[in-house]
Amino acid sequence: MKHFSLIVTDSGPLITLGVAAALDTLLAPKLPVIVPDMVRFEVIRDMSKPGAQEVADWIRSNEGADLRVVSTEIFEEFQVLLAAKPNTRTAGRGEQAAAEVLGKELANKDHGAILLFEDSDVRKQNFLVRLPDEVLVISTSEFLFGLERLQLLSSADEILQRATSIRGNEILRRALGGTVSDEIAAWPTRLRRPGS
Amino acid sequence: MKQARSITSSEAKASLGELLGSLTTDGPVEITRNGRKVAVLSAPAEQTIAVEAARLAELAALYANGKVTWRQIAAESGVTFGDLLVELAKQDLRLPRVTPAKRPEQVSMFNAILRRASGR
Repeated sequence: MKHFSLIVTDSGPLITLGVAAALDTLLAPKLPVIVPDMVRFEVIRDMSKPGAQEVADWIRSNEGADLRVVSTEIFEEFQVLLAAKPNTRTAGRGEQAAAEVLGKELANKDHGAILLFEDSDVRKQNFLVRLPDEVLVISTSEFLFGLERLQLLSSADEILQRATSIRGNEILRRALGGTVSDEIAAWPTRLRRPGS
Repeated sequence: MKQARSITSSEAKASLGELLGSLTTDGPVEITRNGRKVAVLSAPAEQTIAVEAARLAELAALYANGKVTWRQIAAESGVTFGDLLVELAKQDLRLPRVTPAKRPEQVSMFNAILRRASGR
Protein backbone atom coordinates (compact mmCIF):
# COMPACT_ATOMS: atom_id res chain seq x y z
CA MET A 1 0.00 0.00 0.00
CA LYS A 2 1.09 3.56 -0.67
CA HIS A 3 2.25 5.88 2.10
CA PHE A 4 -0.70 8.08 2.94
CA SER A 5 -0.82 11.41 4.74
CA LEU A 6 -3.86 13.13 6.21
CA ILE A 7 -3.99 16.72 4.97
CA VAL A 8 -6.30 19.13 6.79
CA THR A 9 -7.66 21.50 4.17
CA ASP A 10 -9.43 24.07 6.28
CA SER A 11 -9.91 25.43 9.78
CA GLY A 12 -13.36 23.76 10.02
CA PRO A 13 -12.28 20.23 10.96
CA LEU A 14 -9.65 21.50 13.41
CA ILE A 15 -12.02 23.88 15.18
CA THR A 16 -14.81 21.30 15.28
CA LEU A 17 -12.53 18.75 16.90
CA GLY A 18 -10.92 21.39 19.11
CA VAL A 19 -14.26 22.56 20.51
CA ALA A 20 -15.36 18.93 20.95
CA ALA A 21 -12.08 18.09 22.75
CA ALA A 22 -11.39 15.41 20.15
CA LEU A 23 -8.32 16.58 18.24
CA ASP A 24 -6.47 13.38 19.01
CA THR A 25 -8.86 11.52 16.70
CA LEU A 26 -6.79 12.98 13.85
CA LEU A 27 -3.91 10.82 15.03
CA ALA A 28 -6.01 7.66 15.30
CA PRO A 29 -5.46 6.44 11.70
CA LYS A 30 -1.71 6.47 12.48
CA LEU A 31 -0.95 8.51 9.39
CA PRO A 32 1.28 11.58 9.28
CA VAL A 33 -1.04 14.59 9.75
CA ILE A 34 -0.23 17.68 7.70
CA VAL A 35 -1.58 21.11 8.54
CA PRO A 36 -0.67 23.72 5.91
CA ASP A 37 0.72 26.90 7.52
CA MET A 38 -2.13 28.87 5.95
CA VAL A 39 -4.71 26.65 7.67
CA ARG A 40 -2.96 27.01 11.01
CA PHE A 41 -2.99 30.77 10.54
CA GLU A 42 -6.74 30.70 9.81
CA VAL A 43 -7.24 29.00 13.15
CA ILE A 44 -4.90 31.00 15.36
CA ARG A 45 -5.32 34.44 13.79
CA ASP A 46 -7.60 35.39 16.65
CA MET A 47 -6.76 33.34 19.71
CA SER A 48 -9.83 34.58 21.54
CA LYS A 49 -12.09 32.63 19.16
CA PRO A 50 -13.61 29.31 20.26
CA GLY A 51 -11.29 26.39 19.66
CA ALA A 52 -8.28 28.47 18.58
CA GLN A 53 -6.33 28.00 21.81
CA GLU A 54 -7.08 24.27 21.91
CA VAL A 55 -5.86 23.77 18.33
CA ALA A 56 -2.74 25.86 18.93
CA ASP A 57 -1.89 23.86 22.06
CA TRP A 58 -2.56 20.56 20.29
CA ILE A 59 -0.32 21.46 17.36
CA ARG A 60 2.44 22.56 19.74
CA SER A 61 2.16 19.31 21.72
CA ASN A 62 2.15 16.99 18.73
CA GLU A 63 4.33 18.69 16.15
CA GLY A 64 7.05 16.29 15.05
CA ALA A 65 6.88 12.94 13.33
CA ASP A 66 3.10 12.55 13.67
CA LEU A 67 2.10 16.10 12.85
CA ARG A 68 3.73 18.60 10.51
CA VAL A 69 2.88 22.21 9.80
CA VAL A 70 4.00 22.64 6.21
CA SER A 71 5.09 25.94 4.67
CA THR A 72 3.36 27.06 1.50
CA GLU A 73 3.82 29.81 -1.09
CA ILE A 74 0.16 30.66 -0.62
CA PHE A 75 0.85 31.67 2.98
CA GLU A 76 3.99 33.58 2.00
CA GLU A 77 1.96 35.60 -0.50
CA PHE A 78 -0.76 36.12 2.06
CA GLN A 79 1.74 37.52 4.55
CA VAL A 80 2.77 40.13 2.00
CA LEU A 81 -0.86 41.11 1.54
CA LEU A 82 -1.34 41.15 5.29
CA ALA A 83 1.55 43.56 5.77
CA ALA A 84 -0.10 45.97 3.34
CA LYS A 85 -3.62 45.49 4.67
CA PRO A 86 -3.89 43.92 8.14
CA ASN A 87 -7.59 43.04 7.81
CA THR A 88 -7.14 40.96 4.65
CA ARG A 89 -9.40 37.91 4.82
CA THR A 90 -7.99 34.45 4.26
CA ALA A 91 -10.83 33.72 1.77
CA GLY A 92 -10.32 30.09 0.87
CA ARG A 93 -6.55 30.30 0.90
CA GLY A 94 -6.40 27.35 3.31
CA GLU A 95 -7.73 25.06 0.59
CA GLN A 96 -5.33 26.53 -1.94
CA ALA A 97 -2.47 25.88 0.47
CA ALA A 98 -3.72 22.31 0.95
CA ALA A 99 -3.69 21.83 -2.83
CA GLU A 100 -0.09 23.06 -2.88
CA VAL A 101 0.85 20.60 -0.13
CA LEU A 102 -0.96 17.80 -1.95
CA GLY A 103 1.08 18.49 -5.07
CA LYS A 104 4.29 18.17 -3.08
CA GLU A 105 3.15 14.92 -1.45
CA LEU A 106 2.16 13.34 -4.75
CA ALA A 107 5.53 14.25 -6.24
CA ASN A 108 6.70 11.19 -4.31
CA LYS A 109 5.52 8.34 -6.51
CA ASP A 110 4.57 5.95 -3.72
CA HIS A 111 2.59 8.57 -1.79
CA GLY A 112 -1.12 9.17 -1.51
CA ALA A 113 -3.22 11.49 0.60
CA ILE A 114 -6.47 11.83 2.45
CA LEU A 115 -7.88 15.34 2.20
CA LEU A 116 -9.98 16.22 5.22
CA PHE A 117 -12.70 18.78 4.52
CA GLU A 118 -15.35 20.51 6.54
CA ASP A 119 -18.63 18.77 5.63
CA SER A 120 -20.53 21.53 3.82
CA ASP A 121 -17.52 22.51 1.72
CA VAL A 122 -16.88 19.04 0.42
CA ARG A 123 -20.00 19.38 -1.77
CA LYS A 124 -18.78 22.29 -3.83
CA GLN A 125 -15.24 21.19 -4.58
CA ASN A 126 -15.37 20.90 -8.35
CA PHE A 127 -11.69 20.13 -8.62
CA LEU A 128 -12.23 16.87 -6.74
CA VAL A 129 -13.38 15.00 -9.83
CA ARG A 130 -9.94 15.51 -11.35
CA LEU A 131 -8.06 14.09 -8.41
CA PRO A 132 -5.95 10.98 -8.94
CA ASP A 133 -6.99 7.60 -7.50
CA GLU A 134 -4.51 7.78 -4.64
CA VAL A 135 -6.21 10.86 -3.21
CA LEU A 136 -9.23 10.36 -0.97
CA VAL A 137 -11.55 13.19 -0.08
CA ILE A 138 -13.42 12.81 3.17
CA SER A 139 -15.57 15.04 5.32
CA THR A 140 -15.06 15.46 9.05
CA SER A 141 -18.15 13.42 9.91
CA GLU A 142 -17.20 10.67 7.46
CA PHE A 143 -13.74 10.53 9.04
CA LEU A 144 -15.19 10.18 12.53
CA PHE A 145 -17.76 7.57 11.55
CA GLY A 146 -15.01 5.62 9.77
CA LEU A 147 -13.01 5.58 13.01
CA GLU A 148 -16.09 4.48 14.93
CA ARG A 149 -16.76 1.64 12.47
CA LEU A 150 -13.29 0.26 13.18
CA GLN A 151 -13.70 0.92 16.91
CA LEU A 152 -10.96 3.52 16.90
CA LEU A 153 -13.36 5.76 18.82
CA SER A 154 -16.53 5.05 20.74
CA SER A 155 -19.02 7.51 19.25
CA ALA A 156 -18.64 9.85 16.26
CA ASP A 157 -22.10 11.22 16.89
CA GLU A 158 -21.18 12.22 20.42
CA ILE A 159 -18.16 14.19 19.17
CA LEU A 160 -20.16 15.99 16.48
CA GLN A 161 -22.89 16.86 18.95
CA ARG A 162 -20.39 18.08 21.52
CA ALA A 163 -19.04 20.60 18.98
CA THR A 164 -22.35 22.48 19.00
CA SER A 165 -23.76 21.67 22.39
CA ILE A 166 -23.53 24.11 25.27
CA ARG A 167 -24.18 21.45 27.89
CA GLY A 168 -20.91 20.53 29.50
CA ASN A 169 -18.88 22.42 26.88
CA GLU A 170 -16.78 25.00 28.67
CA ILE A 171 -15.38 26.44 25.41
CA LEU A 172 -18.81 27.27 24.02
CA ARG A 173 -20.08 28.50 27.38
CA ARG A 174 -17.10 30.81 27.69
CA ALA A 175 -17.74 32.14 24.19
CA LEU A 176 -21.31 32.91 25.15
CA GLY A 177 -20.04 34.91 28.09
CA GLY A 178 -21.30 32.47 30.67
CA THR A 179 -24.87 33.60 30.05
CA VAL A 180 -26.17 30.13 29.41
CA SER A 181 -25.70 27.74 32.26
CA ASP A 182 -25.93 23.99 32.16
CA GLU A 183 -29.04 24.37 34.26
CA ILE A 184 -30.82 26.38 31.59
CA ALA A 185 -29.53 24.12 28.82
CA ALA A 186 -30.99 21.17 30.72
CA TRP A 187 -34.51 22.63 30.94
CA PRO A 188 -35.98 20.81 27.93
CA THR A 189 -34.96 17.50 29.50
CA ARG A 190 -36.29 18.45 32.92
CA LEU A 191 -39.59 19.70 31.58
CA ARG A 192 -40.23 16.47 29.69
CA ARG A 193 -42.72 14.36 31.57
CA PRO A 194 -41.54 10.97 32.78
CA GLY A 195 -42.40 8.33 30.22
CA SER A 196 -43.13 10.86 27.44
CA MET B 1 -16.76 47.12 5.66
CA LYS B 2 -18.01 50.36 4.14
CA GLN B 3 -15.60 53.10 3.09
CA ALA B 4 -15.94 56.12 5.39
CA ARG B 5 -17.62 59.12 3.82
CA SER B 6 -15.92 62.45 4.10
CA ILE B 7 -17.46 65.87 4.79
CA THR B 8 -16.23 69.22 6.05
CA SER B 9 -16.82 70.41 9.61
CA SER B 10 -19.22 73.11 8.32
CA GLU B 11 -21.31 70.50 6.50
CA ALA B 12 -21.28 68.30 9.61
CA LYS B 13 -22.54 71.19 11.75
CA ALA B 14 -25.33 71.95 9.29
CA SER B 15 -26.55 68.35 8.95
CA LEU B 16 -25.68 66.69 12.25
CA GLY B 17 -29.12 65.15 12.82
CA GLU B 18 -29.21 63.63 9.37
CA LEU B 19 -25.64 62.38 9.77
CA LEU B 20 -26.36 60.67 13.08
CA GLY B 21 -29.34 58.92 11.54
CA SER B 22 -27.26 57.58 8.68
CA LEU B 23 -24.40 56.07 10.68
CA THR B 24 -25.90 52.59 11.11
CA THR B 25 -26.97 52.30 7.48
CA ASP B 26 -24.23 54.19 5.62
CA GLY B 27 -21.27 53.71 7.95
CA PRO B 28 -18.84 56.17 9.55
CA VAL B 29 -18.15 59.71 8.40
CA GLU B 30 -14.78 61.41 8.32
CA ILE B 31 -14.92 65.09 9.21
CA THR B 32 -12.31 67.40 7.73
CA ARG B 33 -11.25 70.94 8.58
CA ASN B 34 -9.09 72.94 6.21
CA GLY B 35 -8.64 69.80 4.10
CA ARG B 36 -7.33 67.66 6.96
CA LYS B 37 -9.13 64.80 8.68
CA VAL B 38 -9.93 65.87 12.26
CA ALA B 39 -12.56 63.35 13.39
CA VAL B 40 -14.46 60.19 12.52
CA LEU B 41 -18.11 59.88 13.47
CA SER B 42 -19.35 56.31 13.78
CA ALA B 43 -22.19 54.26 15.28
CA PRO B 44 -21.41 52.42 18.53
CA ALA B 45 -19.83 49.02 17.98
CA GLU B 46 -22.79 47.23 19.64
CA GLN B 47 -25.14 48.29 16.86
CA THR B 48 -22.86 46.88 14.20
CA ILE B 49 -22.50 43.67 16.18
CA ALA B 50 -26.27 43.39 16.58
CA VAL B 51 -26.79 43.57 12.81
CA GLU B 52 -24.05 41.03 12.22
CA ALA B 53 -25.45 38.75 14.91
CA ALA B 54 -28.87 38.71 13.27
CA ARG B 55 -27.38 37.81 9.91
CA LEU B 56 -25.08 35.21 11.46
CA ALA B 57 -28.08 33.60 13.15
CA GLU B 58 -29.79 33.38 9.76
CA LEU B 59 -26.68 31.97 8.08
CA ALA B 60 -26.17 29.37 10.81
CA ALA B 61 -29.71 28.08 10.30
CA LEU B 62 -29.16 27.88 6.53
CA TYR B 63 -25.85 26.12 7.10
CA ALA B 64 -27.36 23.52 9.42
CA ASN B 65 -29.99 22.81 6.77
CA GLY B 66 -27.41 22.41 4.00
CA LYS B 67 -28.44 25.59 2.16
CA VAL B 68 -25.11 27.42 2.41
CA THR B 69 -21.56 26.23 2.86
CA TRP B 70 -19.06 27.27 5.48
CA ARG B 71 -16.96 28.90 2.75
CA GLN B 72 -19.90 31.06 1.66
CA ILE B 73 -20.51 32.14 5.25
CA ALA B 74 -16.85 33.02 5.74
CA ALA B 75 -16.80 35.02 2.51
CA GLU B 76 -19.89 37.01 3.42
CA SER B 77 -19.39 37.58 7.12
CA GLY B 78 -15.70 37.08 7.89
CA VAL B 79 -16.58 35.09 11.03
CA THR B 80 -14.45 32.19 12.19
CA PHE B 81 -15.64 28.59 12.25
CA GLY B 82 -15.63 28.85 16.05
CA ASP B 83 -18.12 31.74 15.84
CA LEU B 84 -20.32 29.56 13.66
CA LEU B 85 -20.22 26.70 16.17
CA VAL B 86 -21.26 29.10 18.92
CA GLU B 87 -24.19 30.31 16.83
CA LEU B 88 -25.24 26.72 16.11
CA ALA B 89 -25.06 26.02 19.84
CA LYS B 90 -27.19 29.07 20.64
CA GLN B 91 -29.91 27.84 18.31
CA ASP B 92 -29.48 24.20 19.29
CA LEU B 93 -28.60 23.32 15.69
CA ARG B 94 -26.33 20.52 14.51
CA LEU B 95 -23.43 20.37 12.10
CA PRO B 96 -24.35 19.21 8.60
CA ARG B 97 -23.09 15.75 7.63
CA VAL B 98 -21.98 15.12 4.10
CA THR B 99 -20.34 12.05 2.63
CA PRO B 100 -18.68 12.81 -0.69
CA ALA B 101 -19.13 10.29 -3.48
CA LYS B 102 -16.31 7.81 -3.95
CA ARG B 103 -15.41 5.06 -6.32
CA PRO B 104 -15.61 1.57 -4.73
CA GLU B 105 -11.82 1.21 -4.84
CA GLN B 106 -11.47 4.46 -2.88
CA VAL B 107 -13.87 3.24 -0.22
CA SER B 108 -11.83 0.04 0.03
CA MET B 109 -8.63 2.06 0.32
CA PHE B 110 -10.05 4.21 3.13
CA ASN B 111 -11.25 1.14 5.00
CA ALA B 112 -7.88 -0.56 4.51
CA ILE B 113 -6.08 2.45 6.00
CA LEU B 114 -8.34 2.45 9.04
CA ARG B 115 -8.17 -1.34 9.43
CA ARG B 116 -4.40 -1.14 9.43
CA ALA B 117 -4.55 1.52 12.16
CA SER B 118 -6.92 -0.60 14.23
CA GLY B 119 -4.66 -3.64 13.87
CA ARG B 120 -7.39 -5.74 12.22
